[in-house]
Amino acid sequence: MTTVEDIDYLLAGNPNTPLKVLDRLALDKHQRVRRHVAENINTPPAVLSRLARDPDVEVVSAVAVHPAISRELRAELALHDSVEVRYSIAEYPLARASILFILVEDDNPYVRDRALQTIRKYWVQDFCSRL
Amino acid sequence: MEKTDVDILLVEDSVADARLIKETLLDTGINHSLNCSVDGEEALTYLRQCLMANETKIPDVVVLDLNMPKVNGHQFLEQIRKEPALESVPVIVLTVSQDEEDVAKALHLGMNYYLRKPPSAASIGPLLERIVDLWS
Repeated sequence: MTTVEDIDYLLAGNPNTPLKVLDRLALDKHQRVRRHVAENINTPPAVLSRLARDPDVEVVSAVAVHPAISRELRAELALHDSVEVRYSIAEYPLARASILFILVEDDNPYVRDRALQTIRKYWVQDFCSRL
Repeated sequence: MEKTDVDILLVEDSVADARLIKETLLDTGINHSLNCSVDGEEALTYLRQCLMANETKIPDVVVLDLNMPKVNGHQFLEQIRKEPALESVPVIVLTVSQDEEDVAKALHLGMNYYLRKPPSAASIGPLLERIVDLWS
């Protein structure tokens, strides 16, 4: 038996799902459906901004590493109360160096270490390769 | 519980499969109207006629086989996603194909959902109702 939750989950992750449907699914009561919307590459920035205030940290973590969010929102999420959200940005290769430098000074040692690793891996190596 | 009215376009070249799907749709208990096309070309013609004739409603959902003569399921998807008036029509792909590449290609070309043949009333019923609800 296919449940409505299963259907919504698959539609939420499908890049062909229309924006108006993603907008509705972003309000779904099931966390995994909202997380899949936050992971969908076609979810528009306005919906992602709304999901950035989601009570579930997995949803917010997915927003934090979505390529479509603004630099300002990512910087705001780099200061999020949840370690999980901050850690997801710390390991995100497309995060700007300025945001990673915020996380290098994070209270949590795992977040600090991960941000340093990401800077070394994606920024220092890239910089050195250009010399 | 009152069931949703759903206008369905079934695109299926196999008479036996089409009959089975019709019976399954009846088993769902959903109030529906069903139009059938035997291949992608006929389905595209039907949809374009719906667009031109204002009194004819575009189907709520297309249930699409992949392997068909003339215009196959992949070509059909490619065509309707290029037409602004049809690009958001939900398409459920229904196929016996075990080939993941077939499904991946359909996803790339714009399919919204995938069911393996033969679909059960318990799988296609809730799906049709949910798609109509979300797309409305």
